[in-house]
Amino acid sequence: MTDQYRPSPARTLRRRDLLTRAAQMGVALPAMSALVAACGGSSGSSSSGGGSSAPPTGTAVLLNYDGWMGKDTIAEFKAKYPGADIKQASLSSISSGSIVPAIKANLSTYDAALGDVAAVGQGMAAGIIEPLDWSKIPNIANVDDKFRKGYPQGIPTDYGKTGIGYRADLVPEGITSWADVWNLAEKYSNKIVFTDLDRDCIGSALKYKGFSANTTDDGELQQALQALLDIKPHLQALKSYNIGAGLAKGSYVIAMDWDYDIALAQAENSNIKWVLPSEGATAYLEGFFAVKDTPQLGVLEEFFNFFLEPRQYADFVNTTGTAFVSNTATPYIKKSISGNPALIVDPATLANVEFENYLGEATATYNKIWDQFKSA
Amino acid sequence: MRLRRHWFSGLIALAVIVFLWAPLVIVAINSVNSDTLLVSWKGFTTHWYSQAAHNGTVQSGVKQTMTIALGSTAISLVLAVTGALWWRRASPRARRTFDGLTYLRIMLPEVVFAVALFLLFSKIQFPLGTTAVVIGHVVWNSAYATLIIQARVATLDPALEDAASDLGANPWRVFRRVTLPGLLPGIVAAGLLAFTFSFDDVVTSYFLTGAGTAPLPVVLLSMIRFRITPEINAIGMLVMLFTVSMFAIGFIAVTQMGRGARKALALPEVRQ
Amino acid sequence: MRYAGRALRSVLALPTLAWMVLFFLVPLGLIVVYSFATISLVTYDISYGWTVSNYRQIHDPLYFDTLTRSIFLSLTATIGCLLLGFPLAYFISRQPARWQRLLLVLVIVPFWSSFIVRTYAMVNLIDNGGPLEDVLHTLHVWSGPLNILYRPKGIALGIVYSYLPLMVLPIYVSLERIDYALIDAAGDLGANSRRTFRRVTLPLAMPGVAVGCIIVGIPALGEYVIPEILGGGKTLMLGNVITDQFLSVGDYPFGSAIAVALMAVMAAALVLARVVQRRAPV
Repeated sequence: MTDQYRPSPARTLRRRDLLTRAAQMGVALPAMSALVAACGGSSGSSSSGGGSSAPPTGTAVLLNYDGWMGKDTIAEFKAKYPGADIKQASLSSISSGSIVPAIKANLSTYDAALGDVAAVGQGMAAGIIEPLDWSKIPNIANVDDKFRKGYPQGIPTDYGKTGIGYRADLVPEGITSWADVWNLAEKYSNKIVFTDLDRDCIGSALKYKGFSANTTDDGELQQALQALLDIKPHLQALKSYNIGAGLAKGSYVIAMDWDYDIALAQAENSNIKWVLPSEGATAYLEGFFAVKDTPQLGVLEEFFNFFLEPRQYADFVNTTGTAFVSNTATPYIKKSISGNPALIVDPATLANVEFENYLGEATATYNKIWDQFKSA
Repeated sequence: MRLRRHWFSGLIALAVIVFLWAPLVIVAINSVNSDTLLVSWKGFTTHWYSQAAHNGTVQSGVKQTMTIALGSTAISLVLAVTGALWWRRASPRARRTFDGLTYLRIMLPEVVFAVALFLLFSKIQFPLGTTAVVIGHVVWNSAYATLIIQARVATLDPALEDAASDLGANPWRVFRRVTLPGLLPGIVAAGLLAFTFSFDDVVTSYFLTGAGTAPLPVVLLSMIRFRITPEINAIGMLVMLFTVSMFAIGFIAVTQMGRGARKALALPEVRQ
Repeated sequence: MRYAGRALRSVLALPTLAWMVLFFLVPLGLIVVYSFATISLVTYDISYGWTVSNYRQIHDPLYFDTLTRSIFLSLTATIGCLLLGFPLAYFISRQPARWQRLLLVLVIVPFWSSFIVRTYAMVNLIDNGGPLEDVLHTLHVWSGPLNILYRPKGIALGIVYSYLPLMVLPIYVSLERIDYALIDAAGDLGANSRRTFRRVTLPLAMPGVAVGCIIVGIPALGEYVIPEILGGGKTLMLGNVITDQFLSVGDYPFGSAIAVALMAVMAAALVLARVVQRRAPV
């Protein structure tokens, strides 16, 4: 399932647009003036619709990867909204399946978390997601429509594609597809690395075989498993971090990797080429969502809104080097990111990218296949 | 150093010690390499050390790890000493149960403990964080400490304690003046081991930290998962230097104190 | 402690007992309860019951093979620890007290740097083209690529490295207590050093060796971080399976069942060891 990517040029939020959107959301008139004031850049953050006018205070705990935040974002947030604070708890394991059961087992510990679409799907089914009051997060309009639609339960923060990185100087044949990787596997045996993530590997293998990366068909999944088992003897390792660094060093010459990681490595070694395979690539879309019954909902909505301000969002992108979801922030984003073909792709190419979805009951099948692949 | 008589074991001992220190040499070299991706040697720099020293997350991580390690070591030692002293005069059946409990704690994979406690704490709504981590560490740390102190207790001559009590000392005094000094080497050894285990622990700490301050190993894991830079190596070196100096100071204090106390009490030299 | 009343003596057992009941036995009981429950992987709602579906799932060759692989790897690592650790402990125990302390410190200090940082340094160390390969080539002990990293051999090496003090310390404690009068007596009675070692030293060190083997071999079965880092994520061991079930999949009941099964295996191994010990000539 691939959407048509509609490029949205940098937009200035016009008062008229805002009123239309507000009307669509069915928000009362008094709230709108508050919204306009907020988008005008004033620091007052009055809550909408007859509530107290004091800004929410408290400390919200955000479950997030270490370093996956703008360098100055939280500090500036605290400065702008005294009494409100965001504490980050570390999300060490990067498998999306891990956060939902952890949060469910300990609901009072976390107020918000970073999750991809699959995690959010699981979260919805498990009942741990708190809906947000979008009237308090007008900056959500800064996010491009496609990503907004793909992540309705929270604020999207970034996305990433799983493609191929390789050393052009050490692999003269060149690579343009997953088929190339599988065909060259024997020649470059022990010099190939895949990511240690189930959705990435299984999804890529499915793409290689010409299927959807979100399929639940058993037959297709078995074929993908077989493809993975075929290539496993030639894999040096399954890594979940620093994949690009190994390419730069030459420890291996072909790698399944994410776009931002390859972009980073290219700065170290210009011989590294990024490939969006011709059969297609899987991608993740992630963002922040609020945990059910969190007492800090006000602070979170305030923070999410602050996070999506163009300057703040640009800080996030510049710090993490990730592909981004908001074009209003582009003027503040480093050229090395916004101009990088690995990160920013044209609509035609993006049509070939399939975003990972929540699989529901089929999750168990994917887990089984992953276990079989890992223990082979 | 008696080398000639034990040249074979000496050779292996040397090889093993080199083997133990080799990765540290690599860490040391990498910590001053100005190449961010550690592809090759790009020149000497102290940049990573200043970055590590100023890294707030690392600072709080070290502080947190120290707190947890000291806390769990202290409690583990108390459990170990009391347990070992009880074991000395316990019935064979009671001993077997106690030993079974000790060995069970050593053998179980840490992840089983960690998850069990995680599930328990969430069921009774006990907050995760420093206390939870210390509780978790004590469970398995006290087992190792108990083994070492049990071994040491076995070397104590009960005649000394009986003599002291015959001379009129109450049980607490006997413990403090006779038993404790005799146990001291075992306590030091057990304490060092317990501290080391607690300091380096990943699994229990990860599960029971919750939203609290992460201890250093968890911080490092996240840093590595995000992006490995030589800064990690600088942190490793700094941590080692810090712990070594702390222990050097502690060790000197203990041995000096031990000697002084023994002199004051005019007690016979207990075999160290 | 005949001066201390029985009541006082029992009080001494209290701290350990209380702690272990609360924070060890009760949580373990919880795990056993969980192992008979089921979870919906969609809603993550747990339904407690008395099903054996989780245990049936373990019989899948996928998990059974992982168990045998883990046992084999752990055994190899334990033997490695023994071969390296015993000579080291022996050498240290035969030095004057001051040197003993220095050597022990030398053995333990590396473990005061972070385990994670050290393990990553090991990756550099044993990589093809890394320092270890260079050294072995220079010594003409090995030729060609090392091929240890990201293989089971690398995992075994990593386990040996991490667990060495656990083997060295108990053996050292046993050896250090040996009364040298016994050794001298054996020599006076005509035994050469090798015979003395075999008939006097070794048997006296056995308790330490036994302890060392147990506290290395069995926890090694549940190792998770080392296989992940040094195994390149390619070799699934029991510790990885359990951790995966709890951390990645969220199937607590199944993970609990595997943990219970592992405990059963350990209990069996211990019982076996006890039987062998009792049968063996003193």
